[in-house]
Amino acid sequence: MPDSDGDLAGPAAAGGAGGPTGPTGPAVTAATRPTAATAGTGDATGAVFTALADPTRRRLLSTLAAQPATATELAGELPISRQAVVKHLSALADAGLLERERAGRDVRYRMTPAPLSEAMSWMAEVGGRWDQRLAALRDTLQARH
Amino acid sequence: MTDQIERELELPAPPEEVWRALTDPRWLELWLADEVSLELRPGGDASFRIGDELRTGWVEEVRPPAAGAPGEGRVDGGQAESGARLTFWWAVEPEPASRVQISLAPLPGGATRLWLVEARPLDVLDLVGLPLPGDGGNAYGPALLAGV
Repeated sequence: MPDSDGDLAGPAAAGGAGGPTGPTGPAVTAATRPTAATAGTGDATGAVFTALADPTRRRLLSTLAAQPATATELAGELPISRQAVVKHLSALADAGLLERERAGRDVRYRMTPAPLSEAMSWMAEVGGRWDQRLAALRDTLQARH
Repeated sequence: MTDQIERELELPAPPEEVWRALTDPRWLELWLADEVSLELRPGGDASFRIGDELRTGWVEEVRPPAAGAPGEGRVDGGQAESGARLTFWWAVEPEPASRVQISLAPLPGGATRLWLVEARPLDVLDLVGLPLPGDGGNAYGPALLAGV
């Protein structure tokens, strides 16, 4: 579990807009980036947050929670290309949320047996939704200036 | 602390305009939800429809921006000293309500820094204590969630 107590700080300590900015979201500061707790688990935690922060990936994950599927099968259910689906599935697999198995010439994806921390899932979903809303707020205000 | 998210960003408008975007339903419907109904006073009802999702809750705190020149606001320990703050609770049935707190501080050049925290009940209950009845005020318990 990430221990973010030490790194969650007020805006004065976070340093404002010094961090990287996503394509549509507000600046990611020290206060918002998930932190490494112990050696070896920190990167894994960050990868899970990144993987879950995208709504398409969350949808793929919940589909696969019901039953395993191949990229082709999943692409058939979504308005995005198979190539995009493969990219998302790779991100989820890299984060340890999915495992791959051969199914003939195809690769089938299934959720890993380890349960996903519900708190981490909440943080990723709630944070992701606010990123979208705040970007829309900024765009709304920008349009008038 | 794991049941809390924080976001911070700079907005290209002065605090009075940002406050309007946070509290006027016609503005809120441009970025937060499809339909908003809001009683802007402590204890007032709040409801938000986002697509098919309906969130209901109530307003905890309404502190509009203080009049003053840009740069007077100070953000200290996460709280804007002379800035604005809006705090409300919302929930999607059947989940428990979470608490959203938005703080504003003026920045030079007519901009605003916005700081947002959304916290789930376990953390928030620690912050609000109420005296328990029947104990002479010696015992405090956590505040209850929506519906009280």
